[in-house]
Amino acid sequence: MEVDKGKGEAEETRKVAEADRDTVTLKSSDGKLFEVSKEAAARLSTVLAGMIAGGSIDDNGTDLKQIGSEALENVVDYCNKHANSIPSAALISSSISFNTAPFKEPEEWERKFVDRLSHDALFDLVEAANFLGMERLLDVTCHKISEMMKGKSPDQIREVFNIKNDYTKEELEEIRQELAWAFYDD
Amino acid sequence: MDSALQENVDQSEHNDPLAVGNDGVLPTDVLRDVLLHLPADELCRLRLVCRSWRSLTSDPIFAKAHSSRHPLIVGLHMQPRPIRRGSRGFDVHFVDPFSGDIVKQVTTGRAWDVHKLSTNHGRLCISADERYDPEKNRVLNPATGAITMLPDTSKHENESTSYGSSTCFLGCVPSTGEYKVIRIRRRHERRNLVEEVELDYHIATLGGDGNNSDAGWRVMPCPPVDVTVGSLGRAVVKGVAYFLLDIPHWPAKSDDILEFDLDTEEWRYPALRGPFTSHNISAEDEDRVWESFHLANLNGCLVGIYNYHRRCRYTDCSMDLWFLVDAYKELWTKRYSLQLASIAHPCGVYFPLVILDDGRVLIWVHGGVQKLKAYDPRTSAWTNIPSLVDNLLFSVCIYHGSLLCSDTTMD
Repeated sequence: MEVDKGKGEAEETRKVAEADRDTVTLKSSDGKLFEVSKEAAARLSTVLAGMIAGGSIDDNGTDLKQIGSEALENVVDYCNKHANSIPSAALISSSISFNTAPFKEPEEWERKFVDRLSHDALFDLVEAANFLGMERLLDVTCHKISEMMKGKSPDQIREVFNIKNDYTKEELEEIRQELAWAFYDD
Repeated sequence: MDSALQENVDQSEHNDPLAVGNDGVLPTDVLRDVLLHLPADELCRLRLVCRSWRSLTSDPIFAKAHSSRHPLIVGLHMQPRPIRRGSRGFDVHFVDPFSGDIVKQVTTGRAWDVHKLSTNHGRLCISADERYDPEKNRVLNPATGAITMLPDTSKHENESTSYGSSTCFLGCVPSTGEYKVIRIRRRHERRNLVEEVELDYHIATLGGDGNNSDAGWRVMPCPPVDVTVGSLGRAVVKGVAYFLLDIPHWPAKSDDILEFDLDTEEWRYPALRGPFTSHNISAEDEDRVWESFHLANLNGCLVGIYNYHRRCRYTDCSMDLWFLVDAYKELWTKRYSLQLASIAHPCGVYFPLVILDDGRVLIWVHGGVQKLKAYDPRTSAWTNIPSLVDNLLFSVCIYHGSLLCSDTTMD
């Protein structure tokens, strides 16, 4: 069945898209165009949902000047993957899982999705998710960044996140003493 | 694309404290979201990174958001080796129920398994039964680690007086921020060879910051009917201490609740009627027999916990949780009805600790076994939270506060 359908699929998708407009075209800051399912975009992004509802979607590519093409490609990729994984997501949430904190842990595919990203790509994506109001993607990317912080010394954190130490030695010692309980493992 | 990247590189040239990698600046709201994923101890370590990270993680609003995402179980943990013969030390453990990690532990000095914890508005009261250790009762501020000893108990006034079981617990007066501790003791008085037992009620005020107890115990007015001494029969919510009456609920079939205002230090009259008497419905039906009635502070709400078993089938238990919606109108609503049959243990006590953000209820099971379970009302499914298996805790409760900031409360 897939083989029969395969050839004409792209053509067919475009026709359907043009007729029913079930996709939206997004334009990155550097002018590249990406197409994403309207349904997924509206479901996963509050900002895109608002634009679709408000009719401010441009058929020739809605300008997203704040988002570079690499980040936007990842956003679109995430939307498509998310749309495809709905059955498994439902299955997972109803099955018995021990590791279910109040905010849902990333699923396997989401973990893989963010793991393959470079440092810069991850930070671009988290900003794009924040800008587009994509709660779940923001959660998953923030979770990944938080994992990168775990167990690192302040110096390592400053290096990875390019932060300048603006404390004096005395201040650092003061904080260490005040929060001695948190430094047991050192 | 190259030019876009170049722009970002340029942006990160100024030494913004939040500058990230080579691709610009992580906005503060994103950084906040990232940090909300980390446990409290990790966040305290990250305060060494820079000033802005410190102020962000010390902010009461951040701390509140954090504590609702990372509820902490608090309990007493027996140290593996006895301090001296017959006496083991206990630590207070703050445990993330989902990871099982001990986020913080505080050594409280000598304590026995007779010690009880109570928590309100970010503070913990560690107290022992009067008979065993009357002078080691204390209040802990977990965020700062400060410990306040409660006023000494006056020695027995005379030889004919002795004390039986007792209880101490803590409450905060919202309008003043004062912390008060209520102590209820069972006093045995021998008069002419006859022993009379009475409850005596005392109250002590801690300093405004809860860090020094400036005054001793004061005699509290007596309630019209004695209240229960056990910890399951009371709860403190928003400056009011609620008590069950010390009468057998079966067959009295009363679910009246006495209210003590911690601010004015007065009992309120008449008694608050529980859901059944106020809504004029029968507690039992043909199928279910009412077993016990407890009170709890769940997410800052007074909750009546009704335990049932199926008629003639004692292991087929269920539990209803009634939330007090409006104390003046005596309006209650039944938000949860839990089937315990699948997890029932013959001598287990099931105590709800907190409603999680996703609607599940965390239940502490003790007596016989100690377990933490989560109940999902949408699927009626129980989940074991196995994190506490290797960490035996006594007197478990949910911590109503944040380790990040001592001004934060979940009430």
